[in-house]
Amino acid sequence: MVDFTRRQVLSKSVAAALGASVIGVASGEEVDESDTPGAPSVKGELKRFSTTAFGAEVTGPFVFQNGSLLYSLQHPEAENPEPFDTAGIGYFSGFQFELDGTNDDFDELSTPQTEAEQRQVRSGNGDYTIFAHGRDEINGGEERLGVTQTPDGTDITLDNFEGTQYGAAGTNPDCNQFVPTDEDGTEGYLFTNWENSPGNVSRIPLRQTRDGEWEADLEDAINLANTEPFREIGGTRINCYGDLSPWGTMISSEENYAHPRVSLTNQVGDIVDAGTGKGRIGGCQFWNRPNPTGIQSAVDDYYGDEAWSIQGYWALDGVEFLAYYLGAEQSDQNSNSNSTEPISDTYPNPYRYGYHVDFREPTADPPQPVKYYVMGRASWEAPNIQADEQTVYMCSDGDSKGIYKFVADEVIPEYDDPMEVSGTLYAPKITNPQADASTVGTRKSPAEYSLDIEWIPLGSASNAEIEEWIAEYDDITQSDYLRAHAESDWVEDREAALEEADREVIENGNQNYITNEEIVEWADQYYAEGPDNVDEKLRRVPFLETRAAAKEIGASIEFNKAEGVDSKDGAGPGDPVYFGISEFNDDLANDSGDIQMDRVDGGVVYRGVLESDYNISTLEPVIVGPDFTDEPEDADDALRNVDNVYVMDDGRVLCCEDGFGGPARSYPNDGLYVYEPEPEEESERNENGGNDNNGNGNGNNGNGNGNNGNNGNGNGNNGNGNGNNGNS
Amino acid sequence: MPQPDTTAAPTDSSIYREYILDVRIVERTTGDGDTRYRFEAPDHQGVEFADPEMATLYADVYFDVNGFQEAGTGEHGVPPTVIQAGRDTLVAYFLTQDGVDVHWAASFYGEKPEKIERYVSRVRKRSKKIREGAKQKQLT
Repeated sequence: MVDFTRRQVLSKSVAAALGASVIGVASGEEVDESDTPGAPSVKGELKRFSTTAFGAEVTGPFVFQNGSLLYSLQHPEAENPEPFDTAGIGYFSGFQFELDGTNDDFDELSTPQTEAEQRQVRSGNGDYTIFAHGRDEINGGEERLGVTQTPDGTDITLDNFEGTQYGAAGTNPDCNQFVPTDEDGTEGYLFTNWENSPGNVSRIPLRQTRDGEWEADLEDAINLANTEPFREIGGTRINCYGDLSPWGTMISSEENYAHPRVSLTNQVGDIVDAGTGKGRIGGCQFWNRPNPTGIQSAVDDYYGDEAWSIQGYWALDGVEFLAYYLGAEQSDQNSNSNSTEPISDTYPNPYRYGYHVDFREPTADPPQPVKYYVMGRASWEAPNIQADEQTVYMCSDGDSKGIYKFVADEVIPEYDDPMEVSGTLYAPKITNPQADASTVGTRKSPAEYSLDIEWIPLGSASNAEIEEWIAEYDDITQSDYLRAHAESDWVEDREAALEEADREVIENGNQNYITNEEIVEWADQYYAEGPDNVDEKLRRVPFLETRAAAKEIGASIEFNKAEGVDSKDGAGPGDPVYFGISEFNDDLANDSGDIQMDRVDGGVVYRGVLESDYNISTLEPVIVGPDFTDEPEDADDALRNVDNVYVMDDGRVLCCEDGFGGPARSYPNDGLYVYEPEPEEESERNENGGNDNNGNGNGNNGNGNGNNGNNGNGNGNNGNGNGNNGNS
Repeated sequence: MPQPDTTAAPTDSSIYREYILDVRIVERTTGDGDTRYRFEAPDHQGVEFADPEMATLYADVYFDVNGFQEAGTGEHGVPPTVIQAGRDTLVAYFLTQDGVDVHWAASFYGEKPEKIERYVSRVRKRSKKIREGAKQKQLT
């Protein structure tokens, strides 16, 4: 496979001939990459603790009460040496954070420069020790870790079924949350997300031995998705990150990337106005299409040069496997191939996926999962439930997505029945003119200007109400897609019927689910009467079609890869909540919407301070990643493409990377950094300097420790793109 | 997939696609009966693909960066011109390499597959504009 270790400066060939013709050619929807002021920079100190094995991202960090750290080794490259060649969950043996608020408790890790360094998990202190691998036998040999099963116990893998699966089963461990069963926090259950479709959440008994090591009891571990209570509510998919709730339970977030019904910056109203979804429609509208992921190539065929990229279509991977999980017959499968014969018996309801899942009795056998429908449906990366146990901030991953807020009417754990949880869902509105180049005339650096945020109420409801609305769509199958949208008899001519149905859905929307017209009507009534006075039949719209609804009423659904949100346990007014935005580009750096700023491909970590009512009204940049244009001396030690953020009890923040492995850095690996915020007095100075959005722009370019390994030398390259990126 | 064109003469060949500035993709049948698509350009050693989509993508990358030489970069090295051109161009070039598909690239780059496809789309569109611009300037 690809090996980028050798590179020489070469002469260009026909550049001179063509050069004049390319001036002014735009690169696409977003502004060009450039050297953005303040990128990279840090308010405080950023120190590298670990780099992960090649091919893996750093995800699912968790810090135990005693300061032990674990994280998931997610989808490492198969040619790494053992044990770094398969996915797993591991901790750093021999190391504990002292939790005193400073980064003095560990040694800075050098960058990985050799192939041997790049193909293992490294750390400044301690040894990464894996105690469970994906697909390990668990539960007395009845199951394999992270692998879902059909009702009759067949593993849902590509070995047993034809079709697509969202990542191979048991290869994508993500969020980890430990629920202790003793006061010292040395014994309990580790809950782990498995980011596949069908998805899974495993529960592994875990204990710390007298010599400080952690031992997993895989014999008694279970996959919660394979339990009856979870299957009865439809199971789950793409379980990404999550949170440990203030009431001490695992919250698993369903990153249902297939939820967009409009692509990128489009709105449903645009489709209705234009009388067609051509160029605008999103992936979710093809949820119940036979062979759903085939829609993109079908559209390419139908429309040729006028075809468009259907946002989220690829995340329809594994929807048919979800049907088998629920008990569907394998009727759509020929020998060794997935056909377009519709699944007509059992099919997943799209409105049952894209929520935060709570396990309210984590030690029960088995625990009963509860989905918080009332917090909205999205591609949730994570929630952060505040200590008031009513306010929740949430990040939806992907392009042209939102960060959201939910406020429960009562303290959530005090509802006897979690289905009675009720409250109001809010969407973000960025209000300061400096965020919008069309207002102030120039593109401001996200490193220098905060985002002022107001929260727009979308609607109020209870979990039980929403579940009733969802249930109305329970019995819709792939046959209904053809029946409702094609004139041809699909039994007689399936391919003709499929094309007719596809074209009809593109033109007029999928009539099996909430329609475009209903969303526009909801928005009209919202504008006229307010969120609480829309028709009863339309109240479902903001909860089941959250993104589409928020866009329709002008919320700032422009964030790109909102990947992390967290605050320390017990955080109250005056304490920070951190938001990780993995890339600051696309809809954040284009010519539309409320946010039109300069582009920083390395992303931004924002800090919001909780007000007396747990509201957040300003997002202040505290860590700014590198530009793509930066050289390794800038990018090697900077946080690039933050994923999960995890706030430790001492206020430091673990920042996990899922990064763009190519240029800008001299190595391809993702890392785990520890952010130590600046001292309070300095923070106040920054705040004063940054008030009124005059720009604060202080810049601590990384940590400046000079521990860069051999970047920029060794093989005569210029630093970027080095590393052994290949898996040949 | 992409291989430097050092193989024996084709048993049968035709122009699969012809671009400006003597850049072209030649379709040929190998002695084993397989079809190959060879990218050819002045000052370029030539490179072969089994998939015509990858051959045309390679050509689009070529025009997107105003041309580059593959020779001397190692068996699978990345020409500096490509690296310097930006993420979308690099990703598109990356996809033309052996064993790299959209999902692998997405995982490697910390992106979702749709964004990888958008990168590719941008390169293709930009390359087309470049060729149109060159034609208007009669740089053919």
